Amino acid sequence: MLNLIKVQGDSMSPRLQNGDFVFTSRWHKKLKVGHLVVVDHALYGFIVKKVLHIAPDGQLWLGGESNKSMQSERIGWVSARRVIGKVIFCICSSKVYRN
Amino acid sequence: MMHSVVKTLDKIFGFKTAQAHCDIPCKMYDPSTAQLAALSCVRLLDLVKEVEEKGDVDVAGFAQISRLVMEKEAACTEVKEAVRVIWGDYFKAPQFEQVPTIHDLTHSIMLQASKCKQSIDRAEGEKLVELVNQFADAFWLTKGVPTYRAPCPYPPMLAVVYPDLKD
Repeated sequence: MLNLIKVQGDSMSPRLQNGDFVFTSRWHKKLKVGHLVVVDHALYGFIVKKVLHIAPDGQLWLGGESNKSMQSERIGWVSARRVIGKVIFCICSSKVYRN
Repeated sequence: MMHSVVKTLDKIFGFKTAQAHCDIPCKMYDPSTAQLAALSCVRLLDLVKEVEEKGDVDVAGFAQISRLVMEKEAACTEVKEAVRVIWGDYFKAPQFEQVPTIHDLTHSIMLQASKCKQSIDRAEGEKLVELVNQFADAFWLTKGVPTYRAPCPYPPMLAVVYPDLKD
């Protein structure tokens, strides 16, 4: 299933800016380090982050791309079942980015 | 072009939003959070002393001490957190050039805040306030804002570095 989601905040800059849009897909193959994902976080709701590590049991360690991003420690390990989708296509105000 | 189309569609349909969270709103940094937390630590040490000076500590006294110590722990953690965010997020190469001692200073604040957690000695709290004052001085130097020292107008009345923003 495809979702079109709007990005709010600058923690993923310069790749994603506030106001950009991302297409996410649930039908992704295995997630890898470096992929962008949208997850439904227990505390923070829908967040878009980069996969930094993947635990052997499939849990994800996420982080932003800008040094303003919320620290990964505050996000904590995120279960793979909380992943709304992998970002497959970004519509940015400045350029189009394909993942 | 494509972005404009999607933006218009968003206005009509309202797509879901995903947060790209930041620690704090971009570019808003101020060492006053750390300074207030360091002053709170000293104030809490004074309140612990007051309970001690009352003499025999009853159950209510123990409860009060527990609460004060818990708050002191939280204040020391807040100092660390506030200083770390400014040092880690705001300070970059140009600021490091302006204040080459900032790494040592930040590290000594971390150590001193831990000492304040371990101790109920006011002198340790005063040292923490002084180090955080030096950090505030360094921060305002990088902003090109002059500073002055004045006693804070509330207990513990210690000298605090304030930015002089009048000009």
